Amino acid sequence: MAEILTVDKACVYFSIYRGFPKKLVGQIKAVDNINLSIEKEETYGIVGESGSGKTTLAKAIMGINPLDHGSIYYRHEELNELRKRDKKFIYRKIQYIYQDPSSSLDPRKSVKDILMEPIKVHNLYPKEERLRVIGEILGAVDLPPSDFMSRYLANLSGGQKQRIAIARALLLHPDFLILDEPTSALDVSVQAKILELLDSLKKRLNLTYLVITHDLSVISNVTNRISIFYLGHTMEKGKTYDIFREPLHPYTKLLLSSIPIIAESEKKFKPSGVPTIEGEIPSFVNLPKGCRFSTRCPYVFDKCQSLEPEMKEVKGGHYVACHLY
Amino acid sequence: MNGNPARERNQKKIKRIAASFGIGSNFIQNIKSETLRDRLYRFRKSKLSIIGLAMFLFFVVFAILSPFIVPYPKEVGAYVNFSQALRPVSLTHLFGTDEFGRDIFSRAFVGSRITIFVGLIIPIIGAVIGVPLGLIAGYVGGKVEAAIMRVTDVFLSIPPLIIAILVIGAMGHSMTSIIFGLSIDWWSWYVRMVHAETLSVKQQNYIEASRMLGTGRFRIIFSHILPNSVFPVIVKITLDMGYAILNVASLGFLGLGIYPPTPELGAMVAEGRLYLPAYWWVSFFPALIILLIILSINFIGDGMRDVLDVEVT
Repeated sequence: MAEILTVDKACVYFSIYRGFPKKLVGQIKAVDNINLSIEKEETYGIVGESGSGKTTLAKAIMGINPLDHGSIYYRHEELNELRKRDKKFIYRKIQYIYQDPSSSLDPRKSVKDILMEPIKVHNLYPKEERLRVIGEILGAVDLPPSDFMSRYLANLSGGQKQRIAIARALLLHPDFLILDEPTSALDVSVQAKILELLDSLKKRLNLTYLVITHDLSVISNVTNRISIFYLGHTMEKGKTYDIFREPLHPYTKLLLSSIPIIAESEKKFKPSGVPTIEGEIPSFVNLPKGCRFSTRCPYVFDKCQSLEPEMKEVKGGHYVACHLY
Repeated sequence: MNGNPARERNQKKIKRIAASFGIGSNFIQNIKSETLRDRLYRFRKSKLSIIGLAMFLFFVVFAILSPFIVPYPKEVGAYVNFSQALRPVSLTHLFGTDEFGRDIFSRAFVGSRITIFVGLIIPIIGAVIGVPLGLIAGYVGGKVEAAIMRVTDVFLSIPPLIIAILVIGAMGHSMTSIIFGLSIDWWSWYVRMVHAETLSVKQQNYIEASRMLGTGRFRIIFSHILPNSVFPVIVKITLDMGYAILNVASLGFLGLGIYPPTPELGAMVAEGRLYLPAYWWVSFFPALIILLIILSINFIGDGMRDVLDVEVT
């Protein structure tokens, strides 16, 4: 299958300055040497704890965070080398859905104005057709246009707001959507409906999704392949089914063993004989020497504390960065 | 509207409980965002702001219609009738007469037209100049921000009255020079306030979301940041009107305002002070009207501050 988005050795660093005149005192390597390749019409997942660099990478793809090293390609166009005009055009094809819809939509605007913005900015349809297009897109996300057109955000529920955010992204006819924790700000009852909607839209419009989440049940239900992030680094990547069935990296094992089990079917994913995860994610400023996970790893040995493990392919398409393999 | 007081109390309670449990901002934000009807309700609930609004409207309507309804419209300008000079308060002269025998009631209300007009126009000019500068400084940042803000600091450090005196000294006494002199300094406060407001709105996700949609700077500034930072400006304009009127009256009192015989409240107070305390009504009534206008505007401003839920220093 053809690749739609490739992330090649991407690094995003944030510099810390102190004093006057400004002096560089440290660097936060929020995204450190990440490789990803996402194929057309698949759903790719990025999993990791808070502060593991998931959102930073997604915003680097969107061009909000500049890359310090490496490159990101969308259909073989290098995104960080684009000229301004091409940028506006290419980024119509890549859209981003925020975690919290109430913060990503302007609270002073009506639904109509929110949806009109991308149309006006890109000067899309003839003026007299614009309202009809907005009505259609509202219908596509299951909101009756006559009810919602002139409402304000204050009168919408979380799920309805997220539908508006999705509608706004779809107006530009993207083929690649980044979903940054698309359901974590929503009620559980609404989460399933939003995931269902996203799934049906994907099939209808041939979309490719990059899903960022720490919700393992979402990941296991919707993604084809995943990357496990820890402190800005990929620990393990491969097919979702493979990773859930046979997690290789100790971090992945710990992560999966922390899922609360509700249904019997989930039980088989829970690795047995693994101690539960302990401690907090270490600070980005003083990264541990060697393997980043060595401070919390139950299987730690000498080599882990001195040498950073390389990414190795263990089985077909299943990669892991750990000295155990 | 009947359910509103209960709803308000409920909202406050939920907010407090939510905050004590550290429940997500999403939840609290939902409660915070009120409809216009809730806001108007809060404005109406506050008796002082309704009284203020009523008083202010009364003064404005009276000022506009004054040439037609005051008892002695001819006596407003250049008019001398020494036989009636310095008459005390009576039914024929509600506020008494001044040293030239002119009816103070008529003069005061006709004179309030200039005072109110200047009081309204100066904060508006200030906002029209200051708000875009503040938006640009806050959003663009860098050298542009440094340049705008340092110039603003210079203007902030000089009291408007001093600059107004200089400008009137240079340009002569006229309404234009009073307005120009006061508004040349007035905008700096708006730059400060909008700049600070822009810095916080700029961090919001919906601004970033708009950037991702490809929205340009100009549209982001005027279509997203401006509507989201405009409330404090509205409140400040309201409160500033009183302050501007006071400044105009001060200029009048210093003899730098509108030239006699054109009536203006500050100048009338100044003329009357020669006859204090025996002929107290000559300064007292114009001063009282200044006081009432400023008071009513401040009441409205306080109400607006409650309604729009902003803090203005």
